[in-house]
Amino acid sequence: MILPPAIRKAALVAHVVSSVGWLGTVVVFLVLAVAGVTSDDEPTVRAAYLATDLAATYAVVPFAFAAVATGLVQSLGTHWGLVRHYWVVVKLVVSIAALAVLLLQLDSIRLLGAAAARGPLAPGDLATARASLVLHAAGGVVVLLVPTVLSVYRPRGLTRYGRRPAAA
Amino acid sequence: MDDPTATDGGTGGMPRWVKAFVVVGLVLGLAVLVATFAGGEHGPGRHQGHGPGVAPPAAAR
Repeated sequence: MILPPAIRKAALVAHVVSSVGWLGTVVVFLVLAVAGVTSDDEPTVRAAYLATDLAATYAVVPFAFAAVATGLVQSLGTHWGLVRHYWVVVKLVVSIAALAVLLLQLDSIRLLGAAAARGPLAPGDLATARASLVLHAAGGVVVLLVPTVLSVYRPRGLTRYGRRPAAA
Repeated sequence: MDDPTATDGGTGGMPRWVKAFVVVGLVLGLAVLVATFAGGEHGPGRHQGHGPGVAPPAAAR
């Protein structure tokens, strides 16, 4: 079903805002995660992990779901379709993979947030989880640039489904 | 996203850039599998109870 132009524009605005919001919140998350690993100031470390927990729960995850949902609306509600163009398919796969990794990271994020809420964190405490946050957030920033670039450049290429005649 | 014809053009098989993405995706997926099953330090719930450098929070000691 092709959306009317006015709704299509509004949906596009929602998709751009949520997608850029997702990338932006992950950048902030990365800054906090790096501060948690590198800072010598104990209150800063605790604040960083309390903030990553809050940021993930109330910003990163909502933006991520919104970006994927509005992307689906954009695909299905326009002539682009969901599986007609390779760039749309790749963008969808990358976004869903990034969302899945984010959801799998929530355990570590919550663990660190709870530990920071309980009391001081020494430099070696939960070192693997802390390193994991940095690694996955950095990877997330790189991965989320892919959908952004694809949306702007829209590289050529029709899938087998997209090459079929419209009436088929 | 209003003008699909702007990038319609591929009439052959899978474009090279898509193949590159598939290869990178497979390599990353393989790396995660190796890290999960060989290293044992990757994946959800693996940060909590074991591995080098993992210790209970200071407040719990």
